[in-house]
Amino acid sequence: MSIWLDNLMKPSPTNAPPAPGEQRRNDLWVAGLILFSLVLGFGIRNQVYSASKSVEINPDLPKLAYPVGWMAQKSDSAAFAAFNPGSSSTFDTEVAVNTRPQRDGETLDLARADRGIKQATALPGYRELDSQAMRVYRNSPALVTTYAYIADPTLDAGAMGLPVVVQAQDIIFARNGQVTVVTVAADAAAWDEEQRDFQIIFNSLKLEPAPEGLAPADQASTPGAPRATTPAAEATPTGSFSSDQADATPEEGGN
Amino acid sequence: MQATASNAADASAIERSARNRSSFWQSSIWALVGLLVFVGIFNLLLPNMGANLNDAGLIVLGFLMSLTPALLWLVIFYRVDSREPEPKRLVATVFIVGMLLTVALFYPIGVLLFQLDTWLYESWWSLLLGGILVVGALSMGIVYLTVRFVLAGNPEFDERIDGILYAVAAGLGIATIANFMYVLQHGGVDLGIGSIRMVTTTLGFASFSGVLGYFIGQARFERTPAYYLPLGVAISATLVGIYEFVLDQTGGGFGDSAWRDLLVAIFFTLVILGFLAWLIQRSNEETLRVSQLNAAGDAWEPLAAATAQDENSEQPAGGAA
Repeated sequence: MSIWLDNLMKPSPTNAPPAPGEQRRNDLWVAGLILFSLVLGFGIRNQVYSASKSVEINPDLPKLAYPVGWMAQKSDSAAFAAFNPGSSSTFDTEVAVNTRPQRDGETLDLARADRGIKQATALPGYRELDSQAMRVYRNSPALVTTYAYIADPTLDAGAMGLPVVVQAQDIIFARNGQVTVVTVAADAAAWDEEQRDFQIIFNSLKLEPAPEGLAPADQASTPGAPRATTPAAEATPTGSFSSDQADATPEEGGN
Repeated sequence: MQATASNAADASAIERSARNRSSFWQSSIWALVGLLVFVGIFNLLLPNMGANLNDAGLIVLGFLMSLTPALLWLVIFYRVDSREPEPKRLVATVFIVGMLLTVALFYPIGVLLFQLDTWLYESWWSLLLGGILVVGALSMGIVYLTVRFVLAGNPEFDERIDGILYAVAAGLGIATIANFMYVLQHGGVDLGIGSIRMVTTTLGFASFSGVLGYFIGQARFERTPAYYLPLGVAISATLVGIYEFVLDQTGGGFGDSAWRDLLVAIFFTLVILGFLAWLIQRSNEETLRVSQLNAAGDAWEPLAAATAQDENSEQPAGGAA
């Protein structure tokens, strides 16, 4: 400690002033240190952006990742749900996962139509905006439906406030005889700024555009998979899909 | 004959660079008291001053308040340090260049490129590491750039303590812009809590810039190893990060916690100013001792910091062989 302080107090054993070259060297070292710090800082930023937890929804599916700052919550209507407590809106940005057995002969388009009808009756001001053919987990066809509705989170909490226009996306895919719907939703005004968090979820699904020329109607469910054959097999408490995996347990994950 | 005159001039410059200026530290303490009075006015004497102002009025008043802590510090400094004050224009230039560089560098890099507000407060480790590596490094880089290049070769920078003084002026420029941005982002400011937050920011940047200023002052007047100035930047940047982290962990800047933040800021400022005062006094003593030793043809050896007086009395010529 004493030597350290001595060096701080008197870095040179003489009083000779620094040469111009030494001052330039000092400037370069300082510039180098600051650049190095900023590069490390950029790494920290990316680390924060990609920090995630993961949850197993179904033994047949890879784990779903969601942002580390989000909180999992129990839900009667979903196999898994989590929300962002730091959302800028009164409507907390959220993700929900629903699964149900796939019906005999059911295509993704049929599943989407079925869900759309039920959402239209359950959600005020429901409006479908877009639907695109995509792929998940490298080779499973999926449909991504974008829609909007009106939510009243402050009223639900017992307070008075303006309703919120919510934008949401359903990623619908069928795998191993199960139809899975991953829904992300946020205040429409905050939709763009939430994309970074959504990307963590999408990346864990390996969501990517479908090969060109593959229309949604062509994307049948996985052939040969076991199917539910009776309506009784489809428990639908509030939405289209059952919560037969409601005991999904989140766990801390890496990036 | 010429060489003798040159040596005498060198010795005189060295002695001048190593003068102790107690008025500097007195003015710093008075500036601290002035800032507390500023907080007291808006919180105790005129707590409802902004009650009847609309948003535009609050923004205008907020801007004026943003400038006040820095100006208060500089004016008090001038009044108290009147024996040999630095040129007003030079101090003002450093302050303004500090502000301009903050606008030109900190906001494009920190806010637009790094998007600090989207990740810095996500977790304790992101706040601590981001505070050091991005906020601290950027702000102290700006202080270094300002002092180094506004004062490059300027004969007014003739004492080691000037490094601290000018670095504090640059730090006040950064704090002023930070306060401006705070007012803008909040569409005006609650005058009570806002004044505390502004003083907290000002004290932090002034203190940590002072730490870097110490290193700049040393490097200006003597040869330093390659790591010396980067070490100064690293220490001051680390202090910035720790300061932000401690403030966040002890409260968050609203309500009662704002007062707690102020206490933390005062504590940091007093500790850092006290340490700097001690450090620069010892540094000046060592410089003068080396000067005398060189005149006598002796070599220099460092004294142990804590027992300098004792060793002085035991070893003739300060430990020289």
